[in-house]
Amino acid sequence: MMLPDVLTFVLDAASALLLLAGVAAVLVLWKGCGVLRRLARSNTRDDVPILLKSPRVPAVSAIAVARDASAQSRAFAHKLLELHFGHHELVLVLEGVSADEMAVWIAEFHLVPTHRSTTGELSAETVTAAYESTDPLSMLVLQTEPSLKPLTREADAWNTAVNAATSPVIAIFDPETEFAPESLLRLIRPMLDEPELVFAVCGTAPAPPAAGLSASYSDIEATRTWLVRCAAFAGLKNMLAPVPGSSILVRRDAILAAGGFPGGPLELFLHLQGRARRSGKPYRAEFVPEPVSFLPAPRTMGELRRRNLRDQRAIFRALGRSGAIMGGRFSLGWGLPALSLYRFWLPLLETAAIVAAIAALATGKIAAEVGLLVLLSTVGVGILVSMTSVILRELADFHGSDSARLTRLFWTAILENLGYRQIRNLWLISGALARR
Amino acid sequence: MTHFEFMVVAVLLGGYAIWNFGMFAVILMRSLKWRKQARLRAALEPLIRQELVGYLAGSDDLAKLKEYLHKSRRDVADALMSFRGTVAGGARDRLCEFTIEHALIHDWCADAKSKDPVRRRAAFARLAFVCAYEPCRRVAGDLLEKALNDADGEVRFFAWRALVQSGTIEEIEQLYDAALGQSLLIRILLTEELRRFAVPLCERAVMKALASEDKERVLAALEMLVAWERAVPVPDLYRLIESSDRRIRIQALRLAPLVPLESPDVGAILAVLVGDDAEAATAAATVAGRLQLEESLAGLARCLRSGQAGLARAAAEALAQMPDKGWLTLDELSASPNPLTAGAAFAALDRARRKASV
Repeated sequence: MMLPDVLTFVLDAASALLLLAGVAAVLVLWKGCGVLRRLARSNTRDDVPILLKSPRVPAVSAIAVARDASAQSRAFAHKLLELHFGHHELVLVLEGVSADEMAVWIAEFHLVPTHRSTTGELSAETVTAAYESTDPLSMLVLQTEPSLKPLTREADAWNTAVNAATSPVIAIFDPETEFAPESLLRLIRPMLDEPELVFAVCGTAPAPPAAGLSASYSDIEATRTWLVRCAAFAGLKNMLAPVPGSSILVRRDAILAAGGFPGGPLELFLHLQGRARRSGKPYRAEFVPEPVSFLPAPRTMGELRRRNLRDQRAIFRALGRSGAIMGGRFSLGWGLPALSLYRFWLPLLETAAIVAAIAALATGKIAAEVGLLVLLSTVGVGILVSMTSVILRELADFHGSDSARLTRLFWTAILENLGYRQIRNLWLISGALARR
Repeated sequence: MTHFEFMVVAVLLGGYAIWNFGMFAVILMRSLKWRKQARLRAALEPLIRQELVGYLAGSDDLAKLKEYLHKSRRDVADALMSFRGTVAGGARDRLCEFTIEHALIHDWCADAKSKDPVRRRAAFARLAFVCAYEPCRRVAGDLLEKALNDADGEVRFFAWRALVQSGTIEEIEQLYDAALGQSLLIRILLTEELRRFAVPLCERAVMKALASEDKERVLAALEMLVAWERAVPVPDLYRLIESSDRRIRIQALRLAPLVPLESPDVGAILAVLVGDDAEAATAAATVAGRLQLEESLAGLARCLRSGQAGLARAAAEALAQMPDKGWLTLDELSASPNPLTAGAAFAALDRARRKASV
């Protein structure tokens, strides 16, 4: 075979793969739309006021880890304390903070040393001091020395908080998210409906609309993520895992039975899902598709890039730690391999195909139609998948959305594939390789 | 070959693109229609509420309300429902009468037979409110009764709620009996609805549930009693405190401060205090503290020395609620060589003294 024939064959094959991946993506988007419609129809009652005052709702310990005394960290702690819930506490682990930083925390929250027990059955960091607030705040602050083992450092910090938590339910919020004060009341509902079977709940929805191109790109990405990684995965057996912007509730006994955090919250979720799969019992994590929490729209392309990289690193870090997760790479069934395919291998293939097609066209090694086929299978398919996600999100919504936002998103679905998509592919590749 | 492939792909993608644009046009029109409806609702809502307030105050000028009914019956119904929880007695009856006069209740009865569960739920939520009024109940007929066995859980819940509004005590007892077998969420919601019937329910239905062989029902009945937070008579509470099921033991202990105790009940609490079950002992310590049971001093001191943090803290708190003797015990135990005991005793005593000085 001559080089042009080889190139034509390879590019045809790559195009076919990309087309098939596009078809699969559309099918999963439809699945997500179906799940969202089912969830929207299954729950139309607002139980929040009754749940707020009922003593039968289990207590919740919101846990958080901070490594400094920055204004953002303190504001995050304040937000967690302001959550509306009948019985909840904040267990905050201050890992490796200096004496000066500790003084800032003590002054801000009026902390005093406490004798409260901070030990437990999980392997955790050494607590050097424990504090409670003299204000009417249910808050436990644990000052710890960072673990000497870098591989278990993150897990140990979270496990320290779980050991000290006294509530049967643990809540985890991402410091970068915006969350509603009543989010715990909305998240706890599935746990009350089936307390024996639901071991975790994960809730999020795309952020409210914001102006700017980066916000529009982010909006459309959040829409795809919401439909696929949240809704569609929630509709399949033990495949749900938190996405950026999610808030999480997990039963404390489930964490203890699983031996604690194997890494961060994502790894914990994967581990618990893997255990549920292995158990053969109908244990499950539930998805709450409400704006209980969300990532606010990015203001710049740099911020959008940082978010993409953060999400990508979290996924591939979890894949790298699959030894500590029950079920390993198959803890979510085909979920993690599919994520790996769509977030690394396909962007890699697409980038390589575009570069090869441009180079081959420039040197006259392939026919123009081959180049056009590559264009259709990358940009064309990308546009159609994005358009579909915008349409399906609207179909999943029973309350109707803002028509201006809908129009903006629909045109962004075209625009994002003419440059941004190709740049994002490079971000995804670099983000994945950084953890490999 | 490539030409053929390209044509096939182009045609397929082109077809799908046309479908996408078509769907976009449809959902855009739907979105615009919703926006128009939302604007109309936002404009009408305060006006309808204002007219309804006037009507509740005794005005018989219904011209404007009829006009709004003509514009949007749903918005009038929504505005009417917004008075739920704020009106009672004669005012509520007047609102209910309005729904009959203007056939709103007939709309809801028709919706209650819809195959769409969302529409059925809305209809039953409205019927639950107006069926507190006898003439409305007659219009609704046996719809609510049938809804008690509806396939949709939320419809059943609204039917139960309607029954709480309008049912006889026998029907409330039946509802209570059914509620005990529901999920925790439904039990929590119905607990609130049934709270005002706590005393009449305690006469028969609760006692029957507590005497049941089914431990889950006993537990659910106890949880409901604890949640009601009403002083209710529960004879022979000690039998529940001595139950073989620890969940029942713990709930019975949580109920103890709300129940007039007899000497066997106190004996049972003291026995749990010195038992091996730390969680039950913690609950017993809390009861002993709240009731200031001086007979429990020795047991509480033992709990404080148990080496279990939660139990030690609860025992210390209980002792702190018994000035003089309890404080004396805490003072002695503050010097304990066991840091957990000493810490808990010192912290509780310190807090109690500070509170007393304030």
